[in-house]
Amino acid sequence: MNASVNNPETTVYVGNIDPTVTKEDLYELFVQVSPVAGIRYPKDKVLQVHQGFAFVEFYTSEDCQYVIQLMNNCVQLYERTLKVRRANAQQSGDAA
Amino acid sequence: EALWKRYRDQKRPGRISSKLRQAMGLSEGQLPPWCTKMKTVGLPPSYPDLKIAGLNWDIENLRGEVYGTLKGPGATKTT
Repeated sequence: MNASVNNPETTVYVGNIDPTVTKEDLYELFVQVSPVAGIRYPKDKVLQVHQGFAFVEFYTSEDCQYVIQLMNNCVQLYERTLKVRRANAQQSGDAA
Repeated sequence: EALWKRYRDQKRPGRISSKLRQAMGLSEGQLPPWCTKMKTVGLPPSYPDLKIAGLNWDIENLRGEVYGTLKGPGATKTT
């Protein structure tokens, strides 16, 4: 369904996102520290609200490592601290 | 998609819009929280030319929405 974000080596999981944060906000935030290749920011199909997490894909695994080090527990959006972790293959797939 | 292209054109490292600043609780002319961490973690590997006010750029440059700048070949990295 979404082939643009599928490489776990270059993708980070971002958690604890306030539902009012937009995809644009996430792009603007992460492009500050590395070029962003893609973002998957799922919405609840019924409620049409964001579910509090996103996958942000970068171009290299080096960028990915760097972003995790730099951004985990660093930024607060609407008073919620963003958690940034390595994405695992299962999470970044569409099956859930 | 068109939306993504617009992001790419409008969002630049070194500038944070007032909307995002508000979400972060960061006022204009204030350095974002990751900048202090860059002192220990280092500068972004994909932005070798990134300049950040107070780090490797004159602190005087810190004003309004701008806290850094990116010039040179690293600025236009695409797929």
